[in-house]
Amino acid sequence: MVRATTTPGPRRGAPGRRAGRLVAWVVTAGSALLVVAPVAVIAVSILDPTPSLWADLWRTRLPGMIADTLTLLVTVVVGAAVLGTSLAWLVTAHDFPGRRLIGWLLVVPLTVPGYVAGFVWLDTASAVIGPRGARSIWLCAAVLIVTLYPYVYLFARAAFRAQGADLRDEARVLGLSRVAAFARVALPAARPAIAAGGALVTMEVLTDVGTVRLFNVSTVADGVLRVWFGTGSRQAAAELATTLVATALALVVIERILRRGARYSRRASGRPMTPVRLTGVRALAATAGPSVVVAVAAGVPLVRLGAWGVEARRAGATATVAGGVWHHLGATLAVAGLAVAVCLGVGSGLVLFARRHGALGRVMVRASALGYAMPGPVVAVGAVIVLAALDRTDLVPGPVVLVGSLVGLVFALGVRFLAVAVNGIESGLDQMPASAVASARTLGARPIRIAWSVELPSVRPALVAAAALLTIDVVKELPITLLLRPFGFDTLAVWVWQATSESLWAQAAVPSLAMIAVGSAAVGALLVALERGAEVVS
Amino acid sequence: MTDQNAPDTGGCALSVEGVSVSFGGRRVVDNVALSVRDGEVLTLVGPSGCGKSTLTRLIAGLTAHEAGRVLLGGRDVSGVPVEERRIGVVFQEPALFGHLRVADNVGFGVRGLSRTERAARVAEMLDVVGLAGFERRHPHELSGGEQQRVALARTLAPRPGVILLDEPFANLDEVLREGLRREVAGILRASGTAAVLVTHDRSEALSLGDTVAVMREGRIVQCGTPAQVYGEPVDRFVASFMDDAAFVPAPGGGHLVARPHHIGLQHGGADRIERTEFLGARTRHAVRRADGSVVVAEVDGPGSFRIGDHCTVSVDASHLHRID
Repeated sequence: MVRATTTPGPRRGAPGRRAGRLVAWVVTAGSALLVVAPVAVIAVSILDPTPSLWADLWRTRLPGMIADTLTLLVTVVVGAAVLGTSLAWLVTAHDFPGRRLIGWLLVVPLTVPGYVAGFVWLDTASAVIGPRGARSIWLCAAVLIVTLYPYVYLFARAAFRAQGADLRDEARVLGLSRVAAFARVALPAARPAIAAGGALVTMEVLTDVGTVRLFNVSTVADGVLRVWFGTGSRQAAAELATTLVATALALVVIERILRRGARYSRRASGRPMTPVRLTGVRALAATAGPSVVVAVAAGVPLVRLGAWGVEARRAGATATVAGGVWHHLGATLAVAGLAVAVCLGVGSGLVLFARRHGALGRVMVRASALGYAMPGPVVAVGAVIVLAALDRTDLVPGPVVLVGSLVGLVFALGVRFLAVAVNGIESGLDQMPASAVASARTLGARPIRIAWSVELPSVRPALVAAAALLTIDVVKELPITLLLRPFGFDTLAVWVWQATSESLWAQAAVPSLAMIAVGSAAVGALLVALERGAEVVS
Repeated sequence: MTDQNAPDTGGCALSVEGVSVSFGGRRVVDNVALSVRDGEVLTLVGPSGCGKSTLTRLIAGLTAHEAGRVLLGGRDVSGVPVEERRIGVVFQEPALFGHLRVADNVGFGVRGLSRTERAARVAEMLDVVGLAGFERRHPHELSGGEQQRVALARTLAPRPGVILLDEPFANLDEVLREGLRREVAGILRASGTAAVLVTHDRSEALSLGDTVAVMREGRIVQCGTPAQVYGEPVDRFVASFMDDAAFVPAPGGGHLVARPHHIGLQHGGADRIERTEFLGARTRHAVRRADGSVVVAEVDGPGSFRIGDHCTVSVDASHLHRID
């Protein structure tokens, strides 16, 4: 299918249209630059290192930070990949009691932030093995695995479904056993999807500050926050953050290499896979296994949070200085709404522009998605540096201050999460027949009209899916919100963070439940969008 | 308009003058010239990869050309972007806008009319393609053939100067294709719009076109009426591409083109029936001759020849077409 649709450039284009094109260029290039700036600032900071900081860090905490980060990263990524992939294979290729319900429930842990499941299990484990034993990197890793595996699960499930029956049947006809067919055909074919899910898990682990803090695991991301709050030095925090940038970039490159060539192999077959019916003990195990996972990741936390919530209510501790749960919920929804709107708006603008402008447009889209490979603390530090620089210029009117404003916070969240919108919209557009746009053009529609009345409406499921994923991400997000929120503007996540850093579990219950509720609504929207043909991609 | 080098101006809906396109250093369309009069249907036929799709995309403005001119109704549109060319294109896949109802799909390209006039035009177009009353349906509720007819209505609705149809029946099953083909031919003639229909199917090209242009490796090798292209091919390629052909050495040099119906078969002899193809009213036989060559002969009805039978081939060479 021919995809390129180069137009003969109008040799005598009307001046109005030329002006329109110029505006499109300036706006798109401007927003791409703005989004790349915070990442670039961090990268540049290492060019002028502060030797005393590094000497100090190296003598004290840095070796431990690196060791903890790597241990946690490897354990969680491998654990989440194995758990997510096996659950996905279980529900796509097998039939057992409760299969449909379990297929849905397995996505629910996505709504439980790691630091919420973390403090629930920390408290539970403390009761059994004592608080010192509970604060271990292994329990931390376990909590992260059960809360992050849904990323791998969603991607792998989509990939196994898209493979359809033909691929597996072909393998079996060629003489492979069911297990061998999975290991030698289905699994390798799904590898790019699993790698994509694994990449998301990697970013989440590198970014996490809430969960690791609970378990006294000192990772590099945690170190960035500590340096920032401890010394107040942006420069020092930025320099430490470059190690995260380097790690993230290296992982992105590795992931691209792993995925090379396998990207477009989806939609191989239209015939859905007929699941193998499990009976007896196997069926029991198939139902029990995923149920335990969901119980650990969501069930137990929900029950305990509910109990704590009741306790907090009796004690009258269901509000903060700023206000009750509605106040904080409002703040969360406001930030999430704005961030989603900005990401979808800028993301669709960028993608649609890129489709009309070949190589340069593609470079701009790729560059603007860099923030997603950057851990939250890094983006936060970079964003503050950029915003502070803007505040000093004449571009921003005198009395307005971007640092510590809602605009600044939404900007940083946009930098971090723009890629979710961009990738979703791109995959949606890829599903459109190439001739739909060509038809619209031959029918006399200008680029703007095609974007507005053909391209965007046909990617509606993809937009809904992207909005849902963005909401889930932004609601859980901690480091950027902590560093950039306006004074007194506390989201639910911030409330949880403040309560748990003083080990006040009961007080963290109500905001945690509110976050899970918002996340569940988003997951519901996501599942509906997925049923209507949206794809999860990275 | 049988001569590709002489595009006339009177009533000429489309003319293409010496256009070329290269992809990665390879000439895909090579110095092509064509013209189509108002109301004429030209079929562009050739093996896959001969550049016929690229040529239509070039005429539509979806692909840029390096040399030559494209004229629509006498106006040079070479630098004009697609959306201003007023050329209708029907693609191989219907490419309907899935989120819009049939009526909104058909009305998509209609501009500058009031709501009621627009609705009237949409209804008229749906009536033309035999889908009156389908306005409120969604594309996914339609069959493949219905979708393609909606696509045709959508293309006709803005009253384009020329319609290009790029293998519009290729994705349909045989029975549907036959019916839709006849129907589309009727619709195009009734609308009086000039049309270029691209196909790799020779019988489609011969049955639908007023004019048939045969394309090979980026060039138009012959352009003429269906009877000319079939009966008086310019070379061996055109002769064999349009139908089975045997080449009989002609007295005084060159070869004569013998179609299967020119070749007679008698029982007994040194030739043997190698393959038979029953077509209903006729039967075609591939005959291996004593010198090793193969010719295809046609007999009425099921005939009396079986695979392996000995036979003799005879050709009535008195009025066969001669090529080099």
